[in-house]
Amino acid sequence: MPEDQALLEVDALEVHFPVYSRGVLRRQIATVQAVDGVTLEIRRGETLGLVGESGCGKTTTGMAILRLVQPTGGAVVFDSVDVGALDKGQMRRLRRRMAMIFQDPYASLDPRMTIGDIVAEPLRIHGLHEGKEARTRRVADLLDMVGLNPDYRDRFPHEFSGGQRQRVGIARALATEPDFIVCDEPIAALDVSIQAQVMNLLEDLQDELGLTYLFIAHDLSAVQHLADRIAVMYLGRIVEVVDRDQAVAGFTHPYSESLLSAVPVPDPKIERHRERILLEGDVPSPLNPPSGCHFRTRCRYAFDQCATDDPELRELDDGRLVACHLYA
Amino acid sequence: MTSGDEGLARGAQASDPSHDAGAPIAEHRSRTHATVETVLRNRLAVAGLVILAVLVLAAIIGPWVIPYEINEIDIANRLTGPSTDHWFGTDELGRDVFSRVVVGARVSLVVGFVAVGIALILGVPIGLISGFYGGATDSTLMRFMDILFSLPAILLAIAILAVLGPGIVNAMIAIGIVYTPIFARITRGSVLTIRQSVFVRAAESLGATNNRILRTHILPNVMAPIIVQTSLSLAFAILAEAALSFLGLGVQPPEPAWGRMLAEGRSFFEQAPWMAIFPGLAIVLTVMAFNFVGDGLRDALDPQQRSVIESRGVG
Amino acid sequence: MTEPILSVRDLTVSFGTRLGRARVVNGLSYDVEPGETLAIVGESGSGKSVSSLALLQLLPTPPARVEGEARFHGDDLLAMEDDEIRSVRGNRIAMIFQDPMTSLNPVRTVGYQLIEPLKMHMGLDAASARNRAIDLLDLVGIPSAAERVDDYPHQFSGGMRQRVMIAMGIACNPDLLIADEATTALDVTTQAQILDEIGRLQSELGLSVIWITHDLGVVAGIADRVVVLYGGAIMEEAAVDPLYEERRHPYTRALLASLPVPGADRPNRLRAIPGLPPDPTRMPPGCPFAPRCAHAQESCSQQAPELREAGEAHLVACHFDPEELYA
Repeated sequence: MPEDQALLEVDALEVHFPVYSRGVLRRQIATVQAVDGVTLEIRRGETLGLVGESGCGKTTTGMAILRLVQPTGGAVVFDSVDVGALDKGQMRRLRRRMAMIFQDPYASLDPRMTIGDIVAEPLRIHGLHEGKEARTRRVADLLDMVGLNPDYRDRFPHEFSGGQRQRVGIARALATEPDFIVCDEPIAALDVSIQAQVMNLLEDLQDELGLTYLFIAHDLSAVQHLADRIAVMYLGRIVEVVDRDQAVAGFTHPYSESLLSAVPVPDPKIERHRERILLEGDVPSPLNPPSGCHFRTRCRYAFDQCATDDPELRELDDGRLVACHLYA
Repeated sequence: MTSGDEGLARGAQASDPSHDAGAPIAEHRSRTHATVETVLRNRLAVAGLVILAVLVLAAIIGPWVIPYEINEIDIANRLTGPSTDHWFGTDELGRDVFSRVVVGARVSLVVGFVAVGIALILGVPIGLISGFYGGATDSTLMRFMDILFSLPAILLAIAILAVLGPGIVNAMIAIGIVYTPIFARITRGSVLTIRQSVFVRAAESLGATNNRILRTHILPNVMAPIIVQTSLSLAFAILAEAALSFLGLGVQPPEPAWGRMLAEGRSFFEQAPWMAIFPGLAIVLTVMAFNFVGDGLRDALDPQQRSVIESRGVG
Repeated sequence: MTEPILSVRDLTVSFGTRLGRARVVNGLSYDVEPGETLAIVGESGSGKSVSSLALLQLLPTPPARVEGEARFHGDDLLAMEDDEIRSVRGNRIAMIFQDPMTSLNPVRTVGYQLIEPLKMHMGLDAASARNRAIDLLDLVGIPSAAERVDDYPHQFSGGMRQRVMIAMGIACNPDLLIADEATTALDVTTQAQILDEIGRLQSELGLSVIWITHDLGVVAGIADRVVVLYGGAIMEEAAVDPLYEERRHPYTRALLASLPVPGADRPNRLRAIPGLPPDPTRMPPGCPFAPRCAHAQESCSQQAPELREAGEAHLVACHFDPEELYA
């Protein structure tokens, strides 16, 4: 298998939610353009970090890749299979190979199930490790793999801390031996001293099992640590994709630049002399995004062309992809 | 160690060196266990449970322990007040009111349970389907429920009985139909909330079928409000049965039912108030008992009751 | 040396729970000097939020029990009667919370909520209160404040609502602003705007600020002095530079070492701290950090270390000398 082969290709993915008027007629009055033409490629065994601020559509992108929301346009190709062309049963079978880890470890586990049953659920769904004994052994292995003592399998989620619950969620995602996992803000709800534990666990599992991750986060420093490549998203679109090594030197797109400059660094000496690129105002509503470049209303470099033409994601000389007219 | 973190975990929080995630932070108590404990700490709920236990006992062994046959006519002793011979007095035919009240518990409880059972069997699936699938199914089912719901309960029951004919079985069916929309609505409301929850989304991401999601994730999580409503509805069903029997549409004479006895006692209220007071008291006590238990369950099953320490998040 | 405007001594907060009394804050003492920013850093269960709620008598008692002393300009906040503390709250000490939506009344306009306290505490008439409200919104960086003053809270974005909360906080010219995870729910670019705004207001109005957070990056940028809390007790207290540079307490050291460092060449595994933060209902005996500490000895789990001077204005609660520990 060639190293660089793409496991997942996302082409011009679009998720538009209709907004209806109230009342009997329910006319469609507007469209929320949550994801507006996202193109990505994730290679086998790599971690692609998808970073952006709340409302930029990063979680919806992850959900649409897994068909947990229906895309309204574009294509998702997983291991040479066009996911959009699958029927319900085929899609359900494909779910064995793609999993998701959710942000909120409190809400993502059914409070009425024991953690053993939660981890066993994917096995039941796909008829794996049939038989009571085989299943119990598999659940024990999975719990062990994420650092939880299998003796606690009969406990309920509410008896565990946030970090422990997140480990249960990770064990559940691993149960069917998937190739690809969407990690949706897996550390955002955890205590600082627990975040590093969970990030290490995700890295160890990737090394051990050869997993491919889409790591969605708002926390740029976590993404910079975990990801091989980083995609920056703003208002439904990808504005920049860079390798980790390039990201160390800095970002190119004006939005990524200001995002990077806003991340606080735990060092008072650096903080004191940092120049922040402060953005004006708020992110515009995805109901009615600006014409042309979505970032132009807050961009300090914006010029006439930005209002009329959509900037394309273009490869620069150093290999990074940037969607900005400055670099056309 | 899966992720060999620096240092060895020690002490109560991480007593388990081979699993660095440590031990659970809360003691092991199933939810049922916790619910029972909370209910038992509620004095009114316990009082309600005691009353219900006595009633159930009366319904089961009543016919064998009562001092008189329920239909034993004793004209010589008609309309006598409470005494050591007749604790609750006698009625216009000299029948022992105490014996009839005890045996009447049987009718009330059976009618209550069967009627609410019918409402559950009809209402919960309607609510589940309506809330889960939404769309046109939901609109059709719920408009129908709204129509049932908009009619005054007792009038609707009378109308159904007018079609089916009077009698205890038909009364149970009528009351069951009357309470179906309540269960359908409550179930649907909870399903709408649970359906949005992340763990349902998670099950979907694992490839679970709708059927599986409904059975293993949605139904168990909507049980709490249904259980509470069941105990409250039992009280209403018993009241409804009493009302129907009072109107002569439920239990037929000479069978003793509290509602009937109340109706018969009405004509003799000035000479023999005990004829109406004791069955009336029995109705009030039973309804109160079910309400106390229902309130206790509501408090115990309400997730917001969890303590500050148990539900700690970030910050 | 100037008098501190707030002086907290031996603050202890405990809660009655089903499992017995839980000590959430255990003998907390610190001073806030005029014009300075004191950061209180901690994770969940460290007692950082509870301790500041206790200062303003905002905890329901019972189940909470608050002991100790908190002198604000010499008067003990904890001993004040209801009407006294009410005149301090929102007036001389303002507090802003993580979630601005639940702190604002959804059925009143933002203007109304700003104007009422101005009329009440500052005795302004309706017209001048309204003008002041517009000035305040303008001051915290809300565009076209004169029009937005009549909007309802739901018409503002999360970042703008937090600005409204700050405007309400500074409306009555308080001496002290307590911000409890005030930017945690916001995006980093919005957070940067708000932090910038608060810094500007602080230099203009001479405010003292207590900034409560778990974010060591934010602290590095805004704090003059830092108190590190763990398990309800102070682990380390120092000025911001020596704290980050010297990291004398093993907890501070481990926490800072566990953070991902942007720009590191080839990322290694993070140096995670094993175990969990302590549960206040089952606090370990001795040092609260001992079960997770790489340097812990037998004695650490038996006796809690005293907070002692370990350098100039640098306090550490550890049985051991950092020089020896990290040599």
